[in-house]
Amino acid sequence: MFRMNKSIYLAAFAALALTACSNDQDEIFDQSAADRLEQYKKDYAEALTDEGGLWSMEYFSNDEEEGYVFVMKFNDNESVDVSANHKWIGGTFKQETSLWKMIADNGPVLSFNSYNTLFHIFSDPANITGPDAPTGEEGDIDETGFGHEGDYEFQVMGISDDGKTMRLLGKKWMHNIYLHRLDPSTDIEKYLSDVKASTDYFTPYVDYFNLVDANGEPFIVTGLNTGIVSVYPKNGDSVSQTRTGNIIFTTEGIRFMSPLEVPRAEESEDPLVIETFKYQPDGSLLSDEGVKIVGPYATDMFLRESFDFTWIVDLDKSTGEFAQMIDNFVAEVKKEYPSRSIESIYFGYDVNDGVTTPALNLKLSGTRAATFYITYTSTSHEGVTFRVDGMNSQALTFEKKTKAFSDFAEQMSKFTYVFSSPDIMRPVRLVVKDKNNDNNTMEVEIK
Amino acid sequence: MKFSRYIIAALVAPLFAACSDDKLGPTIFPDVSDEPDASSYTYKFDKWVNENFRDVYNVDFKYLMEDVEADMNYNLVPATYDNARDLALLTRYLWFDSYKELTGDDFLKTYGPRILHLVGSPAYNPTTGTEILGLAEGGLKVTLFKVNEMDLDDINMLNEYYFRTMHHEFGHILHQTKSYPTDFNLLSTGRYDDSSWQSKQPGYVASLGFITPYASSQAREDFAETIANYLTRTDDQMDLILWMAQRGWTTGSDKADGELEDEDADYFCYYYFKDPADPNSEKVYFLTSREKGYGSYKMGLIGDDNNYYTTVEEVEAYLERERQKHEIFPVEDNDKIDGYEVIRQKQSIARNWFTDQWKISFDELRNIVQRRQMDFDINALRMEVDAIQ
Repeated sequence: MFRMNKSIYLAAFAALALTACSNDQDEIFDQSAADRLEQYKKDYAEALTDEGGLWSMEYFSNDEEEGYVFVMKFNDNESVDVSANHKWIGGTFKQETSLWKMIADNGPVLSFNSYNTLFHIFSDPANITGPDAPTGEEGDIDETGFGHEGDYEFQVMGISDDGKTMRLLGKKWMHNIYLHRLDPSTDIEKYLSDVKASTDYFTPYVDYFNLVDANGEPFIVTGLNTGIVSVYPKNGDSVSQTRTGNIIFTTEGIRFMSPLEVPRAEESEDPLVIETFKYQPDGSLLSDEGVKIVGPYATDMFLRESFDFTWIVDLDKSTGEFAQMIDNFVAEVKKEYPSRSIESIYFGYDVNDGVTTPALNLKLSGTRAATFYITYTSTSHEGVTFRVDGMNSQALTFEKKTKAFSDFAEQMSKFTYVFSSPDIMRPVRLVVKDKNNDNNTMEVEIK
Repeated sequence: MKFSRYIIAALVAPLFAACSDDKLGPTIFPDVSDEPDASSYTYKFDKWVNENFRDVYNVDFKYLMEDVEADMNYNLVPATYDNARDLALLTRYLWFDSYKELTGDDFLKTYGPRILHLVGSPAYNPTTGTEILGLAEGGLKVTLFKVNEMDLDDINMLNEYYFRTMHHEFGHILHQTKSYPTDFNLLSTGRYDDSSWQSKQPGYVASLGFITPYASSQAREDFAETIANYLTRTDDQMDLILWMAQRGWTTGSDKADGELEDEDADYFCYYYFKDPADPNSEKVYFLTSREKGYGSYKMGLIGDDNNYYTTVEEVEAYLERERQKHEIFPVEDNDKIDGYEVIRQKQSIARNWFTDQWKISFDELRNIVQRRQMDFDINALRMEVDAIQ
């Protein structure tokens, strides 16, 4: 037994002695970690300043407000000209120079290391003030110590092969931020103005959109004009199945801060996942996965019950029988009220006996509108019809003198209307056709 | 058995010798120059910083925010370049040059901080509603906050947020190096309040023997505040604090027997009057101790006329006008503390400590600091940077 133990010990020592001096270690990298980090810093810094050094930055400060686009010109001398026109600086174009540096931290880190009032406002811990400051039940929310909670130091996660896109990760708050290279001749103010215009494109009148996935399943999208977007399956539950995410508007389209997963009407199916949409020539938004967003359908928009807007008939854009009918109405009214004129004809909603009721309004200059309460007898996209059910006191007053007002309303009710919009995303001006005669057209506009 | 030992020894020996050809190679870290790049946007200022802080005092003046130097629990932002430059100039002129004038270069080279770090925003603590203006860590690093709000036209604001903070933090570094006498801690034993000092008025804490509300938080802050306020406050300001420290105070409402004054209330320090026609009428208190101004840094008293009086002379003139209108009475000093004497004793301990431990005249240092606070010319200082080639 003793002999055996001794042999084992001797063998172990011998093994150690024979392996201890192996100096032939394979190096995984050619350079030390510090050298490689220094090289990355150098490469990324050069990438930022190359080709004019002009980049647009898609920036998110937190997940409760929209993202903002900056234009940044990175200069060789470690200064950066930051341009912006976001609402926290008054919504007008401003440019300010500050400093940047590529530092070694969690890997190569892009640090904006001197304060820039256009950019660091999203990292400043001061209370958020101004007309757009968040409010709660008790008024202004005191964010002192927090502010917007945005980053100003970013880990560089990589650059695309073509050198056009750099992905950053906020060092503290971990939001994905993208830099896109711009042509050095870009008119910065115009570029940012175009971004802003794309934001303004989504007016508050159009407060929902239709989303259809590649398989045709419909969803409803709300809040596009606010930058905080909610999505739910049209045939599902708008309360429990709504998912919300914040987006950024760019010149190319919109992007969610992070991919949004929306349950389908049939919850057992895989959720819809959406992130980036690009503007299409027809104005719609389309993702790489074939998911499309368009505005409300024209008929739905026209019939939408709202006191925020009405539909004004463009008196100069009617054709066929519609034009004739309007001309006759104008002439009749002129006979009875020579000093007045037809100011507007518009559709909307009114309250009759405490009930919200669709209404056709005929407004004479210097008077209250004569309102005819109507009921839609068909609300199909194939054709909308209505009947006249009553009138307000102003219409009754006119009625005592002339039948022109009620006759006009009755004539209008004889047609079947088909609505369409030249603007697929923003149906705020509609073409209205007589379903039975394409020559009879008019146009209505939201107001 | 002996044979076995030889065998084992022979086998073990190579284990220790086997790696003898391992030699230290060159450093794995890249050789990066720490001299300013002549093409850099900040070249002149960087060179000025090196010449005025690094080369003379071995101080790394970090004016560009490095969050690794800060507490990540706070949301902080960098300083603007212009403000950082101006504060660097003032730091040298008002702090380093003050000591240099009295002691030469070596004092701050030996005892000064190794790192100065500027931060643009305050370090807010939303829970307590307080904000940190400065930090001194282990005698090594001083951090100055709120640099982006610096207003060079407002000496009171500059004093409160920067100059007094510099001397406060350096006071910490000095007492962390050589302890102050423990007698200091005994002067206000039992009266420190670390949790609610921020809601107390300066007149109230002065009557308890504290130079500022923050001094009433804990003894070591009291010591640093005693130093910083003595050095930076003008004679007028110091006289007013001592004037308040000698007087009685009340919250102005009558108390039931045994009911204590609300320590967090506004303090109607010092005076009241009554309706002369009705000796039984209620007392009407006036003259309130209140900090006022840009972020509450200006110390003074508010009269019934809503004017703000910041010197003893102004206060006495106001009281004289009140006396012309009606008889006024001082509030009885019931706190059984001679605030004036306590503050003076604390200053005396600090004075002796400077003399004994540091061979520095506290009063001479104050004279220098006061003169420099009044005569600094920021444009002339900026020219130092502009003149760098």
